[in-house]
Amino acid sequence: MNDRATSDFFGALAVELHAAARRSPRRRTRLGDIAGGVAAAALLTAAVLVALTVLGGGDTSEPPSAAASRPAPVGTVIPKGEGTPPRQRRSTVVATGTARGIGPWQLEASRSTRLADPESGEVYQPEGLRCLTIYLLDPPDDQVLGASGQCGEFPRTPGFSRLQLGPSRRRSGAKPVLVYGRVPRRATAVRILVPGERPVSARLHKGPESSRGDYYAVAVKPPLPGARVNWFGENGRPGSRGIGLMPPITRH
Amino acid sequence: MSPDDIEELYVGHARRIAGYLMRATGDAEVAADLTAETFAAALLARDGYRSDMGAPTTWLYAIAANKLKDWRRRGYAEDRARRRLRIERPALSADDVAELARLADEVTADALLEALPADQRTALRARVLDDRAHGEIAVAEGVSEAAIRQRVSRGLASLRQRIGGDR
Repeated sequence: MNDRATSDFFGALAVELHAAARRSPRRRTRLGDIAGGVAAAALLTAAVLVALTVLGGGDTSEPPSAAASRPAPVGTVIPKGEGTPPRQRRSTVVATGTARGIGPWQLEASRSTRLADPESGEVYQPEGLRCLTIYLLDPPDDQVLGASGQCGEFPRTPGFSRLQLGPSRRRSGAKPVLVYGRVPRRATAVRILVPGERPVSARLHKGPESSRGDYYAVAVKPPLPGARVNWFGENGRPGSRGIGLMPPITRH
Repeated sequence: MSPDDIEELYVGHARRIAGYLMRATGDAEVAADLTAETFAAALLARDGYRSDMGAPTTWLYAIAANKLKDWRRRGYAEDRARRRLRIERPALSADDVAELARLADEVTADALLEALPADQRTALRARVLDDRAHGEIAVAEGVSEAAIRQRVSRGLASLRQRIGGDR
């Protein structure tokens, strides 16, 4: 596991694969599923962060339903195979909110499933990694990226993570990017620190009782060169070494 | 191979594949081309995967290794699968180039081992990473010590070729 977000290249490539699978169905395979799979591959990373749309997963590119645009209450459990798009694992809603330029979002926690070679038994993804996935419930028209996520820990900042969800590289410009993640329960604030600029405070979201920590989210507009995010305790001191933000936020 | 398998391969290995290709080519643009071509080819060939080919990761790395071999032979990165799928390889920003360089530095023994056939991978892992004796590995694997030595030797030669292109 590591704590680096994906660069734009990997997210953009996943979008290309997704689009390719959707426009060139072959054989009897439901290519929408492949597209969804490839797209979802960019959502749930074991070691890295990836982001792309899953809202068009399956054989349809329909927008999310109106019912889906309302966040579920914190603590709601979504069984595997339910929800829009269908969840790949049982997940629990741990935070919800609305961000300007991004719309309503819903943050869900789940556990990774074990993946192993059927012949040798070799495990290439362990079971039980903590996963965090965010869904945009009513993404803006120009917002290609509809979901993002990550599995695993950030070993250098225990209990604290940084994920980003923003527009695709071709549509990035100055459009807002949602920065979010886990934060230890003892945190009193999460701030984005930009050299020479005033810190940007993120909103803290108390997770359900079953959650080991709380959550944060904040929408920021690039560029913020050199920006880092960190949490702060009751004494006002930084709780960790902080985590650098990634492009497009930090792009000059 | 199911769509879920493709999904997990992308999740777990896109960056490692890119790092492997970056390390082997030393050129971010080529590594990006080959990474895109590898996953495009995997998407096209998904139905052809069989478990007797080895672990899915081995299959994926084998595709990447073949793309790398083609690049070395032709002098340019093949784009057949991308053209067939009409995939535009994303342009690289300066950040992407820096990230690929960093990924190349982080290619681990485990990542490289993924590219090897299962018997060589097992032998190399036991001998080099776990420091077990050839004879001990042979007993565990149910083959002769000479066979283990051969697997280790071939595995190392293959890794040398894939990392640097020289034997």
